[in-house]
Amino acid sequence: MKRVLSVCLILAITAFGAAAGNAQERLRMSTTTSTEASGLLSVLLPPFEKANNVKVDVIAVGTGKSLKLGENGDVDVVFVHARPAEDKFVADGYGIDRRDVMYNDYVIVGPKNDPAKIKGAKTAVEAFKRLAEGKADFISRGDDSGTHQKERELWKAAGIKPEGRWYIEAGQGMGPVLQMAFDKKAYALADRGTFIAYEGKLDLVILSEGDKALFNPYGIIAVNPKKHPKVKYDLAKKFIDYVTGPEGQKVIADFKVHGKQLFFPDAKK
Amino acid sequence: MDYIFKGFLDAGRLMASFDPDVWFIVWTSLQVSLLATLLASLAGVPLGALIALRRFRGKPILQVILNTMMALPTVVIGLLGYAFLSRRGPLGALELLYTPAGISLGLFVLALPTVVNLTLAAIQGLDPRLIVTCRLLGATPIQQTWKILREGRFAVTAAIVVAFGRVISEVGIAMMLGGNIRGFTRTMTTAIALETAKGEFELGLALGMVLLSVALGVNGMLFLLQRGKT
Amino acid sequence: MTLAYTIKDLSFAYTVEPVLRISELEIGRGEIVGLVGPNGSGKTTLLHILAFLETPQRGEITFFGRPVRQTDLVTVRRRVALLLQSPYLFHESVLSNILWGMHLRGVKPAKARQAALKALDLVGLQGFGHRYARSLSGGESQRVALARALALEPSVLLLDEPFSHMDRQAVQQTEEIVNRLCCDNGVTVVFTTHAIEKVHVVAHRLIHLWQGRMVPTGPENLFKGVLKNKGTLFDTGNILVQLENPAARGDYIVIDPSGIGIQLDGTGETPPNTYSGTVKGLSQENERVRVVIDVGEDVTAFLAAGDPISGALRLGMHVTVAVGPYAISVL
Repeated sequence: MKRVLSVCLILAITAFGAAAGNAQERLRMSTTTSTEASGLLSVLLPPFEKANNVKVDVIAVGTGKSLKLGENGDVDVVFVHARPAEDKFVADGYGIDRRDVMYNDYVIVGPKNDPAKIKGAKTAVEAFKRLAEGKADFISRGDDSGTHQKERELWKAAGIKPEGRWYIEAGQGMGPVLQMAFDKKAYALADRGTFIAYEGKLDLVILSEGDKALFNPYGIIAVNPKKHPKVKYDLAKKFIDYVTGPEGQKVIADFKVHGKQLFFPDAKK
Repeated sequence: MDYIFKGFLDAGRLMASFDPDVWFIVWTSLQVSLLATLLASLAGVPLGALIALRRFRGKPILQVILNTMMALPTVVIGLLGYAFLSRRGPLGALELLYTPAGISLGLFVLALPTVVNLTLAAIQGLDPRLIVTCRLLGATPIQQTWKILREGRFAVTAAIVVAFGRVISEVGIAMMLGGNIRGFTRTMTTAIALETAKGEFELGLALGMVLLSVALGVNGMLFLLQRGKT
Repeated sequence: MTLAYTIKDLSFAYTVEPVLRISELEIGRGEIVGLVGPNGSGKTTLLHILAFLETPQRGEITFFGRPVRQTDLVTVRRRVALLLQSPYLFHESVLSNILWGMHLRGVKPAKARQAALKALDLVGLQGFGHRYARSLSGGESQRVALARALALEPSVLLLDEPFSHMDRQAVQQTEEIVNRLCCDNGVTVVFTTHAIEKVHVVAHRLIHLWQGRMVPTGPENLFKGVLKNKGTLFDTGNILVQLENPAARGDYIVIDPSGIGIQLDGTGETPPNTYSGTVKGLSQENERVRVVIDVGEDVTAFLAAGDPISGALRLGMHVTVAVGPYAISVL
């Protein structure tokens, strides 16, 4: 009995030690689940961490929550892909120094036999119109993420209010939504990165791509120190400079999944 | 079917390879869970004993409240925890959010009602002659409490073990208060959630198996304790 | 002689209704007192009050000359040892069980161990120290509980129904211990029982309890009824009893069995309170004979063993029963 207690005590002390006395400096960044899931960050962060002797803590949640964390000052920098929301974030004074970083694109995926016949559609909006008509099932992210916001833009542009049994709002991340699309033989709007990661695991194919409307730009924003004096603004600025600078941009361009480039750097000077 | 089977095989392989990432995740889970359980026991056992042994009005209401708290969904505790620990919140200055200590705090809040309630039940389940005997032998209230806890040691230990099991297997609080940060606050449960969402079933399964082993160990301990009683 | 306890105007209730009411009671140091009464008469409650486990709502208690206050409770409890009717032993060894009480009082381990072993000796359980207390038989458990109490060298020993589950040998042993304790060490002993004829310990005094009150004699000859004729007559419904001292109120009447005379049926005047009836029961108890006669109510009489009448009685015989005026009390 005494031995169990002493073991617990030791572990408790180590827990405290690990939690409290962490000497290393940490930069906290919120981003989207799809960004983290793509694997880009595992190659993008280490050079910065090494060069500055910091650890970048990545909190991957939905776009909405990422921005909320920035609003609350719980992170130091926000890295998302939802331009309207980002602009509002800056306009409301929560973020400063917003910079473009890169873009990837979305694709419309679905079952091989394409029951809604969207394959020939010239534009993404046209494809969406056909989806609504054919009443084939469509799985929406339904979670206010960047992907979801893009989807809503397209419905709006098509002049359609999506509702009915065919329109399924999953309220989950990209991975589970793709799985659902596969299970239900339905369509979905996905970021290319996540889809590539799943290629081979699920029997879905790309049925529409390339339309400019499907482009997905990423922005990085520092949390405004005026609103939250405790945020690590200087370090955040350094990180933003790295990501938009030549070194970071090269890492982004070189990042490939299954031999294919996922992200296209477009930081402006 | 062999998809699942392959998953199990990969899981076994992963565990045997002693992948450092996996073992760090396990270590983090154990750390935060043990700390939370330890603190909840230090606070909860005396509190449970106090409630069981003292006479005061409103005991039935308190019992109802405790029972309700045991049924609190972990995501709710996580949400409340976030509201408190966020920089905007009242405890923001403690800088506990997205640290293992922050997770421990949330897990403590989860474990405490369980420890209190089960200790309370354990003591109420003891022979009523026990407390009379303690008093007639001339024990002070503190001496009585120690003796009662000793006599009920098996049931009280079981309460702690149950709380530990609850704490190590929950995901809502660890996710909300820890942030699932790779290499820092990623626990077995949040890792499973993440990997499964990413489609990494093998890793998810492996971690699930490790979690099962820990749960098995916990229940095995409980079984041995009960056996030692007779 | 110092008094161990004095009790005045005591009233005790568990909820609202008082279950014990004692106007005056004294127990002397070194006395052996038996509390006698049927189940529910309040004797266990009184015993627990004497052990300071319960505090009466009203009344004053002094313990060895000093009034007892709420703050003194633990101190006085430590001078009293109570043995429950069904004692609780801890889930430990026999020795551990006995040592705990001494540990509470700060007795040094070596001295405590000695006292514990001596107590085990006294109750005839030498060598039982390392046995697991819960694995013992009922009789052995009771003796461990007794040893646990004796090791504490209490000033007062309280025993709740100590003889109810004992075999003859255990009873003898307990009697010896109790007698020795009080005579050699001046320990006050109070025990409860519902069947005094089964008890062989020499009690200096018996206190009879009935429905929470002290009554002059045992529960024999307790009859319910109504007072009549301005309190000079008590009617049980079956017999009429004349009262020498009129009573203001009362629902019960009790007749001391020793104050009843029996005449083999025959002549003689009929003074008040004489009844004729049939002998229903006849038994010998130690030094007296218990006779039960049906005169409309079942009346119990005690005759000395040597009394010639007791030898002549037979079951079914017709006899005359005469109740002495001083044997009657109204409750």
